Amino acid sequence: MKYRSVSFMIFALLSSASFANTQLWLSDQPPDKELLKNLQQSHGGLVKIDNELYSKQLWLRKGDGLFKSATVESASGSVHLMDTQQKVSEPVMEKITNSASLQFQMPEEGFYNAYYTERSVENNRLNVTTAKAEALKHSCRLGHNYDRKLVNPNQWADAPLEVIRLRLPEEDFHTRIHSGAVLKFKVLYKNAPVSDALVKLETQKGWVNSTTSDQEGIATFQIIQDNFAADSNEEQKKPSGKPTADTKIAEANKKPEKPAEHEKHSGKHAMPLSDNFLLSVEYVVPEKGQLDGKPYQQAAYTVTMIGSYSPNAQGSSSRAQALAYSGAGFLTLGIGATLYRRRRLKPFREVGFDEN
Amino acid sequence: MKIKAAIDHMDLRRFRFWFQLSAFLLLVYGGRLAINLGTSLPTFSCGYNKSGTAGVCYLLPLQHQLAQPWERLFSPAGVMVLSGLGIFLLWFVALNKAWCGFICPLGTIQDWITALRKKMGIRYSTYTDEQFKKLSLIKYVFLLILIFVPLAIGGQFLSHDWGTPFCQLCPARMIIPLFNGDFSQWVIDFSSTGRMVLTALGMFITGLFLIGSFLKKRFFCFFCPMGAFHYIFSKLSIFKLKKEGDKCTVCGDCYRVCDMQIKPIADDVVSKDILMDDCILCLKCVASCPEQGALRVDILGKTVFESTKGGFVKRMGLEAKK
Repeated sequence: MKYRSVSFMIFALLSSASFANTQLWLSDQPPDKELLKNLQQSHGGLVKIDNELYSKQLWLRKGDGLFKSATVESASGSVHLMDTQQKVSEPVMEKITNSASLQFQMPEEGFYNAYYTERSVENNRLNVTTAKAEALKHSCRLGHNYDRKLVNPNQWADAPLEVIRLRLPEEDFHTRIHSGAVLKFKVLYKNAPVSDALVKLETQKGWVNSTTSDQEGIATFQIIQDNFAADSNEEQKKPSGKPTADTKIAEANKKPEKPAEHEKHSGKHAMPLSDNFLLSVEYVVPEKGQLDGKPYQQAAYTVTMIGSYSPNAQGSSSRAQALAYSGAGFLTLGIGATLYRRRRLKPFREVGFDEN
Repeated sequence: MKIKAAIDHMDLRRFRFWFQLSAFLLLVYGGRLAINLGTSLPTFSCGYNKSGTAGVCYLLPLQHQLAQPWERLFSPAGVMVLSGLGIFLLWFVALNKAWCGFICPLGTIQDWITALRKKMGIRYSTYTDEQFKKLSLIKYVFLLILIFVPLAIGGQFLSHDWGTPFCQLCPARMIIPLFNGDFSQWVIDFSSTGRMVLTALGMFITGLFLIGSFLKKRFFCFFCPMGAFHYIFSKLSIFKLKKEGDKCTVCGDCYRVCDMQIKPIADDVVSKDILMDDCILCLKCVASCPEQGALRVDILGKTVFESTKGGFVKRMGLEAKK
């Protein structure tokens, strides 16, 4: 058992080291606070709503992690968008306030997948980096009699490396991922599940966990229970508990001296951050070929996907205190009314008449 | 004419009991039969009763809609608030405040608690005139909270943790889901200051509700912002409570049976439209009035139920004694 945990620790260290430090991902957090004014929080993150037409705006971010990142100025890679009916189109990224942005309309309810892919050859190795985002369109005004199949994840067969988040039991458009939840991600290469792909999940608070996909291509994580009784506007406390073999509290847990780009926007009146975990998958295959005349002997595929989780209401709630408060209300009024009634009861006093 | 006479002589208490029970079953369990009456009901059909509700109390979506960013709320998209209000009014105009007296599940629960107290032989409490005047203002405070707190959220002066403030305080959120075995609302949520304050107050108010309804008839209706909201639009309703002052002898029977202790129902012999903001239109006043036509219910100007000597005699059981 001891040998197993030590070997896993070594593996985890090695696997995390194999990930490139700089990652690329698609986020719905705008680079400019002014841009937030046009957006509103909906199911699935920030959306723009014009005359009931929902649209999503995604920004390409690059950095060492969720804390230390900035938007990318220009994007030369390819962009693909899969709609709720799994039709794929190739929209173009725009440059807005010096940041590469992808904007698309979401006329139908369900999940839209956006993919941004860059390819390059370095040291005889093909690097294919894909930033994926799942965007949900759901309006309660449209009712809740939607086809439950729309909740299922969409899978792009032509994706260089695909990762999908398998849905939680009984998940619907309102379901939020809470801390403590067990998340399953499926890794697919050429439309088939791949085992032994390195999968890393890091949260905004700096918690990092790595694993490999199993025979069915599935990597499983349990999101750390890191919610505390703190106002969302207040500074969040650090996760408690000792780090275990497969759980490392990263250096990023220490807030950088300078706030990160999107942290600047989480001021008192700003929208809460909706992307607070980043999943990245790396899969290396011995693949020979050429890209723009440059030969390569192996190919390294990376895919990132942003997600969000929120405090677990069950973890930050108390039934005993609820009963105590209701009991206090009950007793306060009950005793008060009883005493008031007693005070108003006039004691019997004998009335004597002097008949003389 | 026979039908009219039958209505005027009906046993209102029995009719109301069965009507309330049917409405309760429909609103609290109807969702299990896929009944969906929408989200603009003018009564406490609690949206937190997820597994059973057949429709949602309008105050929940109203608070959600008012919490939108101001740029959106005060734009053409804000029309959605008016469309919700329009549907609410369509429901409301049909029955006026009888939604409270005959349909509200929380009101029905209070009537059942009152029945329990009566069975136990414990006397009920009443407010003094002074207490009545002060306490009846609380519903307007709740109404202001449920309108202005969401607006402050939309204006980014408050965080979303203060969202749906009245629902967090309303005892219906805790009580009604219990009928479907859902105890999940009985918690204090410590995830943020706003949630903590609201849920703690909500639990305290639930405690007050349980004992208050036992001691005082329709205890919570006195503080209910839905009642205040109804009153704003009550003039639009086709369902009216009317009084003929010249037929009234100011005997006070109507006041004595009134669960809401509305004094003008007996004292006011001038007003024709006698509906007050605290009234729940339970029609007990009409049923208890011995004077022919002194109190009546009109729908679209047509009298459908009125006080009659015969009805009074029958309901009081005086007929048998003769």
